[in-house]
Amino acid sequence: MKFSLLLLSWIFTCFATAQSTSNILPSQISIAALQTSMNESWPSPITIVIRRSGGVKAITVPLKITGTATIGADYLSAAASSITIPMGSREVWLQLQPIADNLVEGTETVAFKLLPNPEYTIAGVDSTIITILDKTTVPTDNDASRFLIQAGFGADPDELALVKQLGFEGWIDYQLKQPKGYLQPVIKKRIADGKDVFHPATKIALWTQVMRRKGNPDTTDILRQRIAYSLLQIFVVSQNVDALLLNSEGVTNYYDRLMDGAFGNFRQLLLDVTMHPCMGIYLSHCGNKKPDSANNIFPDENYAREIMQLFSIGLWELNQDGTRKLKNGEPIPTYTNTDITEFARVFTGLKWGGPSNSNADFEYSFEEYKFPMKPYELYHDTNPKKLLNGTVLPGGRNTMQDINSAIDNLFNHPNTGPFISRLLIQRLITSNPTPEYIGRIAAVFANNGKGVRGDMGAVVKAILLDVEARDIEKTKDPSFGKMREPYMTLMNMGKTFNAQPASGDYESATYMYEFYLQEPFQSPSVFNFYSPNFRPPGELTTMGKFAPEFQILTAVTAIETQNNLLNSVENQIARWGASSPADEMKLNFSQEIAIANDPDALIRLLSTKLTGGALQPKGFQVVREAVLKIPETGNNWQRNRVNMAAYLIAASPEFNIQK
Amino acid sequence: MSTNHINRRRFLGQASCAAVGSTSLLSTLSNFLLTNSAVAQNINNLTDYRALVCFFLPGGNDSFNMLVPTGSAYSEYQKVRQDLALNQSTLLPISPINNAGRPLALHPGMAGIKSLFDAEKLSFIANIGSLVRPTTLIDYNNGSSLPYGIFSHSDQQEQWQSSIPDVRSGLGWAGKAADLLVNANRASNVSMNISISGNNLWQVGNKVVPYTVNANGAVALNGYEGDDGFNAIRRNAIDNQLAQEYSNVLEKTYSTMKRNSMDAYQEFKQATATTLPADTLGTGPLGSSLRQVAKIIAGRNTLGVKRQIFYVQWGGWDFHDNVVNNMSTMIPIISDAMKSFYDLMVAMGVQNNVTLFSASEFGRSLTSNAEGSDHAWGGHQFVMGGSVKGKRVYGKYPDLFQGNSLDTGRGRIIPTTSVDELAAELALWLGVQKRDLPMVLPNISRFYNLNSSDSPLGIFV
Repeated sequence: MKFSLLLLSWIFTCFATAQSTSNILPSQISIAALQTSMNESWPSPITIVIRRSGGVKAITVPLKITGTATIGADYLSAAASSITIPMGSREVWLQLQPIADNLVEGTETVAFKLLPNPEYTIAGVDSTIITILDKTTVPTDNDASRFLIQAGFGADPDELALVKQLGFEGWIDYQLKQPKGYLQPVIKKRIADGKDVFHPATKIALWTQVMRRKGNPDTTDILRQRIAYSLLQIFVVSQNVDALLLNSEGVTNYYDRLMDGAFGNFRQLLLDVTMHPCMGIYLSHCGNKKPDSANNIFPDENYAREIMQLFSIGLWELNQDGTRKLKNGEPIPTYTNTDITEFARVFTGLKWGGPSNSNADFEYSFEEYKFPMKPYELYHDTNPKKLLNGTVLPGGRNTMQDINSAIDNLFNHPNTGPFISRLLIQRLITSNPTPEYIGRIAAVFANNGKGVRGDMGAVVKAILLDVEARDIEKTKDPSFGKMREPYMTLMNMGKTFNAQPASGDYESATYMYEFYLQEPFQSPSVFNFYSPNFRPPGELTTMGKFAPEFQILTAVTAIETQNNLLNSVENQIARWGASSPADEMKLNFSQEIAIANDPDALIRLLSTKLTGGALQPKGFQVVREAVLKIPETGNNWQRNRVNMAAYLIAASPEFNIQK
Repeated sequence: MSTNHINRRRFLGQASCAAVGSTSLLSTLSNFLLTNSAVAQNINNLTDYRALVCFFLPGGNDSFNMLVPTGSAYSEYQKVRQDLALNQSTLLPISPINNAGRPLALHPGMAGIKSLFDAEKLSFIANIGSLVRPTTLIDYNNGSSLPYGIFSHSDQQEQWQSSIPDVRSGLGWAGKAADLLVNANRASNVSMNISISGNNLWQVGNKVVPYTVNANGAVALNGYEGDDGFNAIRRNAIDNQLAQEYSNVLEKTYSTMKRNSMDAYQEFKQATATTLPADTLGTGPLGSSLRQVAKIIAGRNTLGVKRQIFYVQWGGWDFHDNVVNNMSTMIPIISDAMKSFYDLMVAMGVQNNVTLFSASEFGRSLTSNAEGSDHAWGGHQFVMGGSVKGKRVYGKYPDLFQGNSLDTGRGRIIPTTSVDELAAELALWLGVQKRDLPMVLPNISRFYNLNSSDSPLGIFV
């Protein structure tokens, strides 16, 4: 065993909200563990709690600590031969943190036993045992859950078991190879089944693929699903325009290109996005024509602007760590309005593609949303064009030559790596990645280790395995983490508790935009639901920190989201209720109901599943005391306890801020 | 509407506050005071009730098709706009009291607004936009003192709302005006600044930040009220959750915002439980939002307020394609809504106490990209209310021909009236003292002599 520094702390911060306790009552005390096992590989502390009921005086409780583990060598703790419950407090907590050595010690134990004292009586449990596991590549349940909240849609038990089996890196490598769970086939099936393809169909398709579980079939591609879902918030296309409202098949075809790009190459992704008719309609370069000077008509500038501002390089020149380059103390714009007019001329001549348009006229070609747009050379501006960083396109080139050059120009721009890296980190891990974190990811974007630029699979892997994403110590930084996307809170509940409808039709999970101000394929504009640079007024602003998702947390959504949460937990996931019992999306709480008689175990399980064990001791106490107010009598007391605990944990700041 | 014609980004607006820093519900948090906040002014002189409503048209309204030159100037308009030009015979001619520089007419869908104009309850401000300082074409070509990110949605929205086009301040001018006026209202969980349309920068001040409701009002937390056994348990637990101290600032901010929205709901609900006179606002999102504004105004005495500032946003106006058809659908909706809202204010007897103004991040290019127009700069807005000197066109209506002295290219026109001037006019009407204007509008003295005895535009009676 290796010696390590001993520190740590009794936790004196106790939760002392008033409860009607009388001074004359004697205190009754008990002991429990908020987590029962710790692992040398994952140095997150665990908490022992000593509780009392009755009495408000400060009391001292002698403790006997035994077991095979040695304090200071195997774990750090302020545990001593006694602990004091301060006046008015009902709980006092003691943290233990494992020390990672590289020794094979087998499973070690720490046992705590309450000793008698005239100041109190011991009621119920008087001892608890913690186990310390050797350093291993197997994540704990809490760490695997936290990882799946970042990398997937929450901790469903099957996926969690797979993460534990393969380890983080092994799981990512496995996921990178999984067959793609495309959305368009779900729409095709709906059409074959005679169902509508109105805009809710795209949400149904997304839920269908996200809710697939290992074993049915025996693969999931949940990581790809999460990345595509995140890319849709960068390369925004929305059905909030008439032309796409009914075009769910085209829109899912677009989404499937994001799925290709999730682990593909960024250059191809940018090209696929550019060529897709849904984007062509959304940002109006489908049908964009060369200038008509006689009639004073100029190329549309919409796509030219947004491909630079939002999809590749951003507004300001960046260092590789994502910080802004400065000239005379001022940030440097990446492009001018003249550059936009030059790029606008590049994106001329594209209109509907697809097999049916082989000889069709530009003006009268058939609308075709499922195949890339194609060039109609007569409408392309063939004059020379100036791109960024001194690149000049000679005249006389055809549409795709120009477009490929423009894509290369943006793909190879030094901004693209840090710009896209930051956006993806913000979607998955934290709103305020350090420059070092962005720099490490941008370096992978620049070169995946095999000389390839833009390898998105490598970028995704690097983001998730980065020390800033994985190190639990990092979560102590007061601005680490992100607000869980409002819509993601709903998907997390559905995925974690397997709310599959018997019919397989997820129509209940649609029309959710109003509750969350967020729903896939329903962004109000190309600027997504929130800005990556949004700062809520107050402490975060004075600290200079960003918090994008707070832009859609209003006095309305702060309540609506909670009301929909309560309905999801107590009834089902639904805007209005299911159209038939087979369509009901009910959360499956069978594991929780089975342990409803043991509030500690119940809350421990829910905290693991929903927060990766992030529920703090005070938060744990709040939920436990609420659960205990529901007596073990009458009908449905188990379910009522589970409902109370699940709702309160999912309502907690620890859940809503993902760390 | 034909599905062949596409309403591109019609809804751009609803959240195209992209980079607009803002929030909604930290209504009265003294712990969020920033150090440079202005000192609230003495408000003993503010005896009446006044409300300002910002009606924001996000996406960049092509307002050169709302206020159109007629007569001899029509051909100039038609020549530059080509396929975007409205047919002269369909336009609604107006006869401003003041000299607008040329004969003008309104979009054919603006009958409601025309009736308000004719009744002297509404005026236009021509060619207004975000300016760092008065700007010439030479300045533009030299790139001197231009708004940052010029012609982009996110930046120009932010600049209309901050009125500081050369600095990213994170604060809006209505928020800073409310900072000064805050003592006019009883201390309340419901802010002076109320948004019906979500977060926006305009209403964020150092102290005052907006309270958000939707068109149906405020929302109650389910499972929290009353003595049902589970509700009582939940209420106690949630109150305890939100009373905790969180060392993570994101958790702390989330917790504070949730608590505030729950508290404000209680106060808001009681104050707005009023019955309004009948109205013609209809049930659409814009009409419902304006009716909600009216309900809050009707609750002014219960809320104990003398000043209120509202934000309503509707539509998405970024028509790079099919702009003429889309506007022919959407302009009548806003025109009718303005008339209905004004009529409701009359029925409530507060028409002289309420001023509404329109805003949009930019006008659009006069030249076409084939059925659409692109991002530009100056545009036209209107101001409505019983205190407005109506039937006028303030500012100067520009030349439209290509290559004129305000044309930066493609008919992107340099504004000749700054947002600062309109904002100052409105802030003064609300009760901000002239000497305090620079605290609200730091650039105002570039456009307006603070020692002048006139107001910047002379809009109010």
